[in-house]
Amino acid sequence: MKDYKNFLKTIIYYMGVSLLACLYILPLLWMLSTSLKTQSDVLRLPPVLIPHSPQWSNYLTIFKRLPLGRYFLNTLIIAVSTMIGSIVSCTFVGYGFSKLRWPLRDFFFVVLLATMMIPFPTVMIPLFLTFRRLGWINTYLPLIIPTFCASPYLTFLARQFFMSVPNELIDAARVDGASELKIYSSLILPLSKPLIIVIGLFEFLYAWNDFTGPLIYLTSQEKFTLAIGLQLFSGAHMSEWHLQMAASTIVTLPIIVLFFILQRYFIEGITITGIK
Amino acid sequence: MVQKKLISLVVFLLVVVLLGGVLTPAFGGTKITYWHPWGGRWGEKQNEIVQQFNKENPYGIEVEVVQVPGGEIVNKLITADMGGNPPDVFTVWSGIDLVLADKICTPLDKFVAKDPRFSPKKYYPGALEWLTYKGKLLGLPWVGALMGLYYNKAHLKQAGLPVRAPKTWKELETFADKTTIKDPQGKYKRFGFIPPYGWWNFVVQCSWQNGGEWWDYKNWKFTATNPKNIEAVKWIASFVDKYGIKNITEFNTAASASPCAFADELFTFTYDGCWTISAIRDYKPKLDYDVAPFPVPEGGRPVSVWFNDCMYMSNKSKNLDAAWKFLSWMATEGTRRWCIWALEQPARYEISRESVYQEDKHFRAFSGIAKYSRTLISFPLMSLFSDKIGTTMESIMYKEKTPETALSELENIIQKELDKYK
Amino acid sequence: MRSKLSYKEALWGYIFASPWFLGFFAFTIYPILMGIYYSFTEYNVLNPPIWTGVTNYVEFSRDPLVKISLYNTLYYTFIGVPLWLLMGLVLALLVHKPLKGVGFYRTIFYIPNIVPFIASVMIWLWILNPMYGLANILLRTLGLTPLGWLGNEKLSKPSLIFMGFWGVGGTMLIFLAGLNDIPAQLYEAAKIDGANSFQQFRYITLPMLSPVILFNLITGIIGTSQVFASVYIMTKGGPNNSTLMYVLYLYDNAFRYFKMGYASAMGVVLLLIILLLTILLLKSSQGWVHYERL
Repeated sequence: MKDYKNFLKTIIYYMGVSLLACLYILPLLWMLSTSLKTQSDVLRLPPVLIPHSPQWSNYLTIFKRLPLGRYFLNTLIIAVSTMIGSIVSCTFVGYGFSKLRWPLRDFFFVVLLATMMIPFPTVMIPLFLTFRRLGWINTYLPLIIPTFCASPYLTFLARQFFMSVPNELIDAARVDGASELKIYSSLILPLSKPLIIVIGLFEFLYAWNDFTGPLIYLTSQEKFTLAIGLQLFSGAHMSEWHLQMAASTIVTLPIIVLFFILQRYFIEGITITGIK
Repeated sequence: MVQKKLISLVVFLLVVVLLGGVLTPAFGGTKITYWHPWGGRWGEKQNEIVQQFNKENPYGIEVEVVQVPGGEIVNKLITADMGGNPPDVFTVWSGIDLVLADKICTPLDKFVAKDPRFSPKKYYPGALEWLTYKGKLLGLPWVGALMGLYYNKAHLKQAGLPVRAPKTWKELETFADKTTIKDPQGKYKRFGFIPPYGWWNFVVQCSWQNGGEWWDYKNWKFTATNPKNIEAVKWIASFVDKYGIKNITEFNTAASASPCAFADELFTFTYDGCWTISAIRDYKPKLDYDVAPFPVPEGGRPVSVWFNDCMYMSNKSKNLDAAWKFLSWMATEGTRRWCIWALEQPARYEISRESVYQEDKHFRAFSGIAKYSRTLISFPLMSLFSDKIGTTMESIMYKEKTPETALSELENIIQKELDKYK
Repeated sequence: MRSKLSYKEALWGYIFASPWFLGFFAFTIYPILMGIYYSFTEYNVLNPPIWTGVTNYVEFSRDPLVKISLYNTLYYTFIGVPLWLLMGLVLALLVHKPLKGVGFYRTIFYIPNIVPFIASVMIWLWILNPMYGLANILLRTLGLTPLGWLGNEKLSKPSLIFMGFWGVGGTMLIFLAGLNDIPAQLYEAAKIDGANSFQQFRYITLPMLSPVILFNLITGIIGTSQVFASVYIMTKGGPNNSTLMYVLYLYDNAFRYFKMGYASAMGVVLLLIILLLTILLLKSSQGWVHYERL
């Protein structure tokens, strides 16, 4: 009887999750479908999900329009660099804001949060001028260097996770004579695999899709990123949506694969099982 | 060990990034930069035309092109100008606000004075005015924009109406009523005509045709509450009484999914631009339609609104001479090559004499429309105006305010901002 | 003995926080101070700012569009964020099971966060299209009346909130990482004590997740109250200002109407509002957030 109940539960579970999954995968399907249409078929009303004659050539045409290969490389450089920057600095600073006590710590924590509360249009011009003064315009430095300085969102996340690490573990290590640096690198970090993967993934994805930053700071077309490239399929009155979706698909698929590989790791990651 | 690898990877990446950012190839000849907003196959064509200039020009000028996505080009221009190195030449759809152009662009008067190619006679009425501010010519037209009444001849035949464009507002209403169709559930399947009430050019054109005025340049007065304007606005709002605002906005939203709702036969009549001709040609070549000037009110006069895509020269350019040579070529020869390919409304008379225009029967209507074109003279803040008139018209259409109240509020808001630039 | 330890710890604290301090003083503090300064000036970006004192703030207090955009934003934030949080939690719980194929489901739920913004905008405009969109097709087949969605001024904000459900993949991930941190023994011990799944959820899962719930709540409020890109592209604030969000109006003032001083004042006020809310949340968190392991 119990087996039957469990079996029923499992069926219902899979049905429910599959229904949700259908809704969530819809964008990907629509993107793929549009990417294989001709220009005039894209927004033909009423719309069809499966095009009658798939235009695989769209995937070649997009490389004719834009140097997507170079954009891919540019974006990869930025994404990997910022990912490293965030993983290193956000965990480092997050530890400082969680397990160490220092004067004005909580005040500066609120300041850190407050830096997320200022709308970008307000600071866009002075920020641009700051980077101009540094001579960083038309380089990737404005996009990369700040991620080595603990961007607030991910640092906040790290801090929340580190606050959950039992103080006994840390005090024990201190009593054993370990320096804070050693505690950070040998105790905290190994316990935080899921956190590190989330930080790395979020930063990588953000850099991959961000176009506001690159658009403001880059002025040579060969330095552009994929996200800017995706915006370059429109004329004054019309867009080449079919090509734009083909390009979007190419931009999206590697990340989906990357995510699929990664998500397994931080579920199976090390769980804190108490004081060993 | 892992830490060492990590550190060396970081150092490597930083080096790559710094080198990529700092090193630029050196080379001779004058180099200037050109920004434009086109992407897709239009961007390709722009780039192609610029490369043709690079090959053909005898001055040794090399133009570096940067495509900047259309919606962002103005912000990028502002920040670049503040940072001290904007592009030498740039093009913006519909142009930039004149106060901005006044700040960042080189006035072209002394350049065009000695150049017969740019005599005002060579341009359609309104073309150069759109780029003139307080007597200074701040840029050159790339292509023009004219609006006309597109009408579906098949629908008129079906409804037993004369197969021609309506000539007056009343006639438009009568025709549109007859060609509006509902489905068995009572939802609208096709609208005869929905006025594009949120578009500044439509509201201004209707007002002008009715004898109204919006901008008194000499006295620096924004005259939204001109009684003739109010009459025109009342006519536009009357469509709400007929069909209901909810039906109108929902139908408009639904129709916006199509690249050309008129070609999808969702409307019998539409007020649209000359670029729609090539859109229809690509999308629904067999559509049975034609174009005509937009109808006039009883006792009104035909007028059309002219506005352009515009090209400018930065006033921080270090190569004004080279920039002018490029700009002048683009504004005469470059735009000719573009217009022939794109079938857009040229700003120069001579281009519309090309065979490609003569052969297209729909385009002929636009030369008639262009005869009556005019534009707002030296209006400093087009973006503010076009945004605010859209929301003002919405408040009228939603019956939240009367036309008199709404236009009076609009007048105060805009006059306040305009006064800062007297 | 105690003070020596504290001194050393304090020093280390500053050392660990130093990268943030560096970035803050190098890149962040100047733009923020300039933003605050501009809010007291008449600044059209073209010419240098002119000091006008509190004029912008006075105009702010009288501006009907400020009231409208603030209402729209708070509506969107305070209805949206809790709902999306809940959805993210539900999804996380659903895929935190060692069942076959669950990796696929995790990936699928996260896909909307990976899809480039342009693509997702297009997709949503199609789904919510009143005539041809999937949403109304579904409604019609179920025999319900089709809706105007983004074309209807009363439904536009709910439509935006509805769209937000689709982007909870990031929230889900964070909850998953948080769930991962909960030792399995706690659940085993509770089962032995006779607790059912609901009690386990209420007394183990929720408290253990409270640090990340707080995180998602605060960052959700901070991020959502600054919503810009989606309304900029999809609705431009319409119909009839029903989706005019605060930062959209701010942006228009800064870059379309050449009122950067006024926009900066708007920015300062938003900062103060969100800051107040965040501090309140942080203070209240002492009551319900448990950092220590049970």
